[in-house]
Amino acid sequence: MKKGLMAVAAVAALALVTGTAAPVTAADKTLKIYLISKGETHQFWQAVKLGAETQAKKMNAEIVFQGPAAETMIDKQLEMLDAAIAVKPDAIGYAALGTTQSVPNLKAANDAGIPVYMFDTAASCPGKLGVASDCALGVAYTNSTAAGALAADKMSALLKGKGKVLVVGHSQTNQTGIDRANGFINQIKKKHKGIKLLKTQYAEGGDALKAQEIISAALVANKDLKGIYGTNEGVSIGAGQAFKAAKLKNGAVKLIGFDSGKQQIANIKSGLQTGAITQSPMGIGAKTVEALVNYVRNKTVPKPLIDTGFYYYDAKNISDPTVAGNLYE
Amino acid sequence: MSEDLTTTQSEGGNKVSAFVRREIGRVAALASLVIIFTFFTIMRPVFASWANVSGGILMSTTVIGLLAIGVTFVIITGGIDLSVGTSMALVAVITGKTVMAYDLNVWTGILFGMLVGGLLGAINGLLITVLKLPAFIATLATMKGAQGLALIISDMKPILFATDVEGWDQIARGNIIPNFPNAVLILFVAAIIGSLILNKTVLGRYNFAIGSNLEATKLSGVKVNRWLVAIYALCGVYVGLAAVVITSRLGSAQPDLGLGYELEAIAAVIIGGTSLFGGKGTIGGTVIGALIMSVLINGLRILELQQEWQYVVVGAVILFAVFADNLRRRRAGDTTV
Repeated sequence: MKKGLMAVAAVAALALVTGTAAPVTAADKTLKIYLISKGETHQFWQAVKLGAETQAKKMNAEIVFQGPAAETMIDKQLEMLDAAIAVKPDAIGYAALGTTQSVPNLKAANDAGIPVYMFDTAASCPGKLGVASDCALGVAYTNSTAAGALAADKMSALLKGKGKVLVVGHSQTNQTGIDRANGFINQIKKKHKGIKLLKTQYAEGGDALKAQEIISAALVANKDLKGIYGTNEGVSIGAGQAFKAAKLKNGAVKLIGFDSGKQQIANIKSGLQTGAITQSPMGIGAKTVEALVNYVRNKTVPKPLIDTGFYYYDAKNISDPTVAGNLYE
Repeated sequence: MSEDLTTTQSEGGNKVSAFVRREIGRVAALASLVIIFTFFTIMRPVFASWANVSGGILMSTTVIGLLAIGVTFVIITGGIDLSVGTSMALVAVITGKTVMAYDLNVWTGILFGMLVGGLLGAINGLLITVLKLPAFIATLATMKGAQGLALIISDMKPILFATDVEGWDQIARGNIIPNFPNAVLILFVAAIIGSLILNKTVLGRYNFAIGSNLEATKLSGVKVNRWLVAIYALCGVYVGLAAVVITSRLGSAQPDLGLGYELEAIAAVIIGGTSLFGGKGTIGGTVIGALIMSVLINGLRILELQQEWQYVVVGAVILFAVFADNLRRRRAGDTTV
């Protein structure tokens, strides 16, 4: 009886082992995925890479991560994309530098039967993204409008729903810059009517010095200014320095910034800055790989738009693993 | 007795009118400054508060002002320096890295920044005199080169170093004179020294001579090339000082900041009455020109004019200032501008 039981157990165990090992078919071979990013060395892209590699390990895929030295090198990036297509990997992830220039290259990838999913920035693909598109299945990116709205909710909570707030944008022409500012402004207008918005100002290009000068003037002109929202790292740095120059007490004017970087992180830890929104570069990498692997292996059609998420962080949660992994110095 | 009195009076009158004629560029610029200042004060009295004048207007003049003083020397030679903005970023980055790596104190750091700036300026001078490149092209090339190098050396990240060097943040924000930011003191002292160099030294004399008539200056045996290198280097020293001030104001070196600052600096120089064709100009005028720009921009911000319109107004004022200056010179029979 005992022997019989053991035999059953042994057979069951064997079945278990063979069961997992048996279907060594195409569906479970290690997939090779090329990710052509906008850069390689910057910590943001390093975090994208880390997120992609972590996800790839979970799903039995292998990542080749490439990007040009600078975000201006569109031609260099397109060469990398063409080289990747020539290798015929199982799938390609692409972050568009040349949003229009890359469209023919992406079509070439589709013609070669390589599925493409975009990340961070979409190319100007003609028509709708999806399986029918000969450009890309979709794009995983940070929903900047929603991120701006989260900043608005946090600001309103900090000010208990009322007070004067100034938005300092970093660009009037770049879509991310516009979305981050408008997301905040529209959310305030819709949901937080007690907050009075001053005219939005722009430190074009995220010029920290211009931001500082704009905010110094705003502090003089509005003694009752209660909050500032800056849409990128440079603006946040400038705002902190303006507070220092005006010898404001920490927290007298709330400051919500964007992204991270050494100085902004230090300011949040010291209390000079209240908090900031960070994108989730790790999420961008992970979601892109997940979408591609599921499509190649299971023919699961990914959503044409995947929001990769963002977080509000302040002195309290800055060291939480979910936040800390997405911050860079 | 009464006759004597009238003679002296009319002599005095002549002196005054001669002074006014000589100084009319600066007087006109100063008058515009007063008018603009008064306008904003009436519109919003808080504009004239000391907090805004010192922390807003004067502080905002420091970086552009220092760059403009430097470039004034160059423009008086009939040259131009388009590299001052990005060179400033490069000096800021190099200084930040060096101060961190070698644990320099604040004084050594300031001197180091001015030295690096001077070297970059000398390179411009050498490109222009040895390679015989037009100043516009040579400094356009160094402008691009400096922009790239600043990004490469910094790895495209701001360098946070001011908090680690004792006293670095006091360069701009400290108060040797109570309630008077040090950065503004630096600007004024640098302007006085610049004015002395321009008016009381050999370098200043040759500076004007080269700008008025390069060939004649050469023929009279002046080693023009050497003096030109020295003048571009001097401009670079002011760029270095601007870099020191901006890192103190920001607490860090921002590698991508500075492009476009050269045009603001050049605009300040021209508004201040210096001729783009060389041979004429004053440091005092340049400081007033820089003040006009920052009073105007600060005032429009205090009035909370929509930003797009701020650009338009600034453009219009630059146009008007230079046009009025030209008109006055033409009336005075001056055909150089």
